Amino acid sequence: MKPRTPSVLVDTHAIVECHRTGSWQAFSRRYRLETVIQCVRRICRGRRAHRPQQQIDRARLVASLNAVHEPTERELAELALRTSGIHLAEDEAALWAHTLGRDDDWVLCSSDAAGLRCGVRVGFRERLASLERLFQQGDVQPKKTLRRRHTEQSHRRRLRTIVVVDATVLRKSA
Amino acid sequence: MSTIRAGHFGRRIRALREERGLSQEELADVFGFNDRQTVSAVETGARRLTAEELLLVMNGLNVPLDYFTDPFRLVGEGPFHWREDGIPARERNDYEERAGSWIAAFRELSVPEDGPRLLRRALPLDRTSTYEDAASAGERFVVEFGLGEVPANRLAQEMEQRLGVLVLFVDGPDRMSGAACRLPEVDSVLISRSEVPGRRNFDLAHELFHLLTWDAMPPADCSHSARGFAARRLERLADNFASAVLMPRAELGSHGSWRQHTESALIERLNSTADRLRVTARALGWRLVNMGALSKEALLGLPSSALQNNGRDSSRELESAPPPLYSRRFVEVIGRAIDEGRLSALRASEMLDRTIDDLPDLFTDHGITCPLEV
Repeated sequence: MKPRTPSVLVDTHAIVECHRTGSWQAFSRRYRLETVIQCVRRICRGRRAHRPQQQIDRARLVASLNAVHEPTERELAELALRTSGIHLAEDEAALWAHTLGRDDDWVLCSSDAAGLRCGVRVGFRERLASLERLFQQGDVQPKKTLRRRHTEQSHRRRLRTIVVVDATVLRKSA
Repeated sequence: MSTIRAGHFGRRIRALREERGLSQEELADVFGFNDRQTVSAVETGARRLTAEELLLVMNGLNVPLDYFTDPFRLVGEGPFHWREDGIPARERNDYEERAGSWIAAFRELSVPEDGPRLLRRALPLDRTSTYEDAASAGERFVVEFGLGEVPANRLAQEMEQRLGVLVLFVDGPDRMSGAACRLPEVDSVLISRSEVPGRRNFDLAHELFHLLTWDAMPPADCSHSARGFAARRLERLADNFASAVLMPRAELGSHGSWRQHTESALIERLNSTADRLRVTARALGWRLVNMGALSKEALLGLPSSALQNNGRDSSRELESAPPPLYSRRFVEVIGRAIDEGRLSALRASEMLDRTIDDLPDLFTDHGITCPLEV
């Protein structure tokens, strides 16, 4: 039985990195992992966002997740208007749109600067988590070294910059 | 109630309405507005749209959300002029959509928010201009923009820096050599990397002509199937301008007459001069004919194979490698946007048709620090 921790929303990058480092099984056992269907489709379709072209079985991936969500049109439209000037891929936007409709305890694991900026913009800065921090807190041991963008140090550095830059942008546009 | 920045959405709504042949009254019904004036206000950006209204028009007109929210697509704007030879319409449309996304992305990510450029340069030419007028304009362009003895060396740079033109070197469909696209905020030229250097430079100068004369003489498509007399004449004006830019009279006359040569000496001189000026020997020959420096009979009397690839056995011998994909300026804008969290790496990789893990190569090719931590 999984410990009672917040649900962890994972994006495409996090899922791919976990598979690359051989840590997905341990990660999914330790946390209640959730994502959106758009991420599953990207990861499992022929045209890939990442290389090496590791095959990730769709059925196994979905079975290992606690939930696979699909944001509503209203949530997607709402995200679009609140994150003007931040340009995400469809699956990234879908994941953040889904968060707008949640009122429970969750964190989101993203390594992309635009994804982090989106989270800051919609007021969820405190819910952002790096993969490295989640691994450390959950005692998950990857078989390979995490790529730098998934580390806690990289995450904090980018977040500091984004908070300042985004606040400046919003002040100018007000 | 949340609202959405009006100008962008208003333009899209108007484009869609016109595409569907709807009146503003009919669209007002879709929105549930009382009158068409409200639709007009939405389209001009005078009235902000709400998220609920956006959903109404999406579902009422059956278009996806990203039709309105995606600024990386050209909708009802950005006419293209193509230099191509019989590309199937569907293939061309598909490529135009992709190229449009690069240009729209560049516009969105780089242009200041205070609106279109205040000034746009233009050549003093119109449909009554002669071929000699176009050539004279080309000569003057070289002088005024300080292009030097080999204008091809500086042309792309001056187009970017002094005219604000986005120059992209691309891997387009077969039989496409170049294209120009005009937007209020940015003009763009796409040049096929697969062309030999001399042809690439000529296409660049040719498309420059169209950008500088677009208002007076909007270009038609340049496919053979679409040409009428006016379109063919316009293309010849562009060719005359391009020839004069790349092969200035002063440079061509600086080493004596072209008339008194044996055939082999003429071939050698054409090929070596073309190499120096970074044009094709064939284009150089015709420039000399138009200047009256060489007779048409003398040029046509040369074996065509002697001038191909400027006298080399293969085009591969003309340069060691084609220019890097896109342009440094374009890649810098993309990199900055990724670094500042305005553009996700995944979105960038989709737009540029490569995996995230291959993105760093794009920056390396242009000598730019990669914004991704790999």
